[in-house]
Amino acid sequence: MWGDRGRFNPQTQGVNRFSFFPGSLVGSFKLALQFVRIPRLFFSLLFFPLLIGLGIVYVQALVTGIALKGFQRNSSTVEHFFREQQEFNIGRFILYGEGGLRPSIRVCRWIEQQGDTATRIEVPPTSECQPDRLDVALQVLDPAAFDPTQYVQAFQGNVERLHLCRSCHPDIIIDLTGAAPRTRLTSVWAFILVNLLNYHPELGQQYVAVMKGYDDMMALLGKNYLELPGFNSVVPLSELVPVMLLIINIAAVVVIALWLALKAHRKVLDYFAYSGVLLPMVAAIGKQRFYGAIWALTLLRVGAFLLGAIPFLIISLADFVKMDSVRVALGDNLLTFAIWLLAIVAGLAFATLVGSVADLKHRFHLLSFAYRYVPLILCIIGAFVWAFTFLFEGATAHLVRSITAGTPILGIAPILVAPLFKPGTMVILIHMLLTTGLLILALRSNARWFAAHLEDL
Amino acid sequence: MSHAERLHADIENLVIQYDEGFRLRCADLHLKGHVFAILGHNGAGKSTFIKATLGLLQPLHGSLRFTYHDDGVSIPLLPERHMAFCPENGAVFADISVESYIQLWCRIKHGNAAYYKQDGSRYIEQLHIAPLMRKLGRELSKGQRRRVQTAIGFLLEPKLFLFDEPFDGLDVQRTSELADLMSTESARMAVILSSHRMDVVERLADTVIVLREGQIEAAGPTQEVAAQLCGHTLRISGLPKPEEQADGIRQRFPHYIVNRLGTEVTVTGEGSLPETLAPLLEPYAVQTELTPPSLTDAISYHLRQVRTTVTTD
Repeated sequence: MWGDRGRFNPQTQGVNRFSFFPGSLVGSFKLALQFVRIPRLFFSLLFFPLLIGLGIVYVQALVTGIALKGFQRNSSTVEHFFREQQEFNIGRFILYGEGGLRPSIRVCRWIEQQGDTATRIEVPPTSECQPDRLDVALQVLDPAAFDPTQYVQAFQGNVERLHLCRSCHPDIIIDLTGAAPRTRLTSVWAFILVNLLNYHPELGQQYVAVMKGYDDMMALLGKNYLELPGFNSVVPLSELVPVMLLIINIAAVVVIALWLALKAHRKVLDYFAYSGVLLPMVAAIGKQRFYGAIWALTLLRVGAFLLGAIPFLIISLADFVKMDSVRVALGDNLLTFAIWLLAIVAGLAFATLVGSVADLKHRFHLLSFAYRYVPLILCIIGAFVWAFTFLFEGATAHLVRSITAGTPILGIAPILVAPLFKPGTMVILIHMLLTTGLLILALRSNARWFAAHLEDL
Repeated sequence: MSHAERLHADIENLVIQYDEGFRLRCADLHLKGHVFAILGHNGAGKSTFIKATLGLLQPLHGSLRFTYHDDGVSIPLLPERHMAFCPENGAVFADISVESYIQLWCRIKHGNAAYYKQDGSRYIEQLHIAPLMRKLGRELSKGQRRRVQTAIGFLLEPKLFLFDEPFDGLDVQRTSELADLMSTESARMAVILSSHRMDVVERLADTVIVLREGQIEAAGPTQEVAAQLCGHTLRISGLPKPEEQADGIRQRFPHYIVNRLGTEVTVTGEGSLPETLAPLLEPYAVQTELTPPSLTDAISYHLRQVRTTVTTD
């Protein structure tokens, strides 16, 4: 900093040194608010990313809910599901305006009559049999003799009329004149209607019976625990899927928050550098206040995202996730959970930073796009090495496993699944400390480069 | 103290390095002046020097400080408080109007978005910004962008205004107007500029820093630096065919700067020019006068030496 005496002081002039005393913070926030008054920055920096981030979280919560529902299926949930489907089905609601079962099927055997000319024409037998687009036609050679019982049973409750004819053509035509049946669907509505067969009550009854058999068989085993040699603790298999989904959700929120943070930095710097304003602005405002403003913008963006995403995630997952799974995901105590959370935040932040910095520094290199995948590749290699060690017993395998989990980037995957496989609080702590240290080192060692290439960003 | 010595630069064993290979080095140096010009060939380190002055680059070691002396008061200059900067390509956000951009700066620095209409209106007028107010940044030419940023720099009321190539791309009239404005405003603020327009620099600058491959080659008052770089200028008048004789001198002494203005020929270079040129001038009844070289000639001479050195290397 050009200190109060006007002399350059290398101890305080560091490019990325910020003094977060209140006065500086207030000034930075005020400046950030001035920037946000620029419409382009408001939309590109706050509004759209926030919208996208929240959209991703909402979709993710929806998918997680569906997946959890699927994994938690048993005979009683299946029975409940099919009962619900009889009372209300969204497909029937779309087709008929009400979701309940339709009245009994009317079977209409078409007849031939003499037309105005010499030809004979096929007509419905009564006025109630006038065809509708949502009816089903069975095209057969002899409508008078064909037995439609199986088809009546299949479409019962979803279709109002079943036509036996040679040539009538509603949107669903089942051609039985050839060697094998062939169905033609000529509208989207017909497609929806045919899919209603999946919720047939008889099918449901058979499904429930099968599930009951499976439930009885599983009840003989009770809860399953995986206790492979090398595991520090037993892994409750019955909680595996919900815990993994919970972990994925937490990690996804962290990744999106980091993405928003990194993008906020890059966006502001790019926007200022592209228009040539960066250097005059940084010079006139001061590095501390300018970068402070970028941090403030980042905080605003990430804070708004977390405020929108976390309550939604908790509310939407509360219905599906049992407390047992939450307890497993949170670990033995809140301190362990906090260390784990810090470790994955630091790990993912470091991986993102390494990819981003390498990408920026070598952006004119032919293979520059590959740099961003280096941390990902290292992370996958680490995961394989860690998983491979479980094939072996003994102290060496345990040591390799612990070293892999404790190493920054290489250990991201083992640390992510730490609530399940419990590598030990010390290993998570070492991973967190090493990664945080490397993160700080990476920031400091690249600060000079960034300062020198501000206008090139 | 005259305003010609209001700006003091103190450089102490300065080393700045940010890319592998490139360094800006300067041993201890103390300079006084009011309008400093940073000169040198492309890649000499002019922009690095300006960035270091603005506090954007951290010296590897050593220090660089500027103080402003006014009425016996010495003010250490801090970039964020006392300096403004106009980059070579100017600066305006591409998708907002010039007026909004100026308002943003006024709000940030003066807390009053309308400042440019009140105390700062003269800069808007003198730099002809009013017709640009409703235009978006992307609709401006390079010269217009620079004019806008120059006006903003003046609106910040700095003690030290730094310009990177302020005259590049400006026509004669705009160059003259900007130089006039700088000259007028230099009564209120010191100026550091880097430029290749030696004619304007010579008119404005009282102190010059010449850089060569990251090192300060010469620094000090303009005339002293010019003399240090290339010795003297010999003015020769009374030549019967000045154009032919000027060509003769150029061919015989290719490293000299030879100019002809009307019937007068000037030769600039190091060494004893009257003695060196005597064999060529003996046949004619000429009048000669040894004068200090102009900055334009001195820098031309210097750059020619740099090119020769680079070629030889």
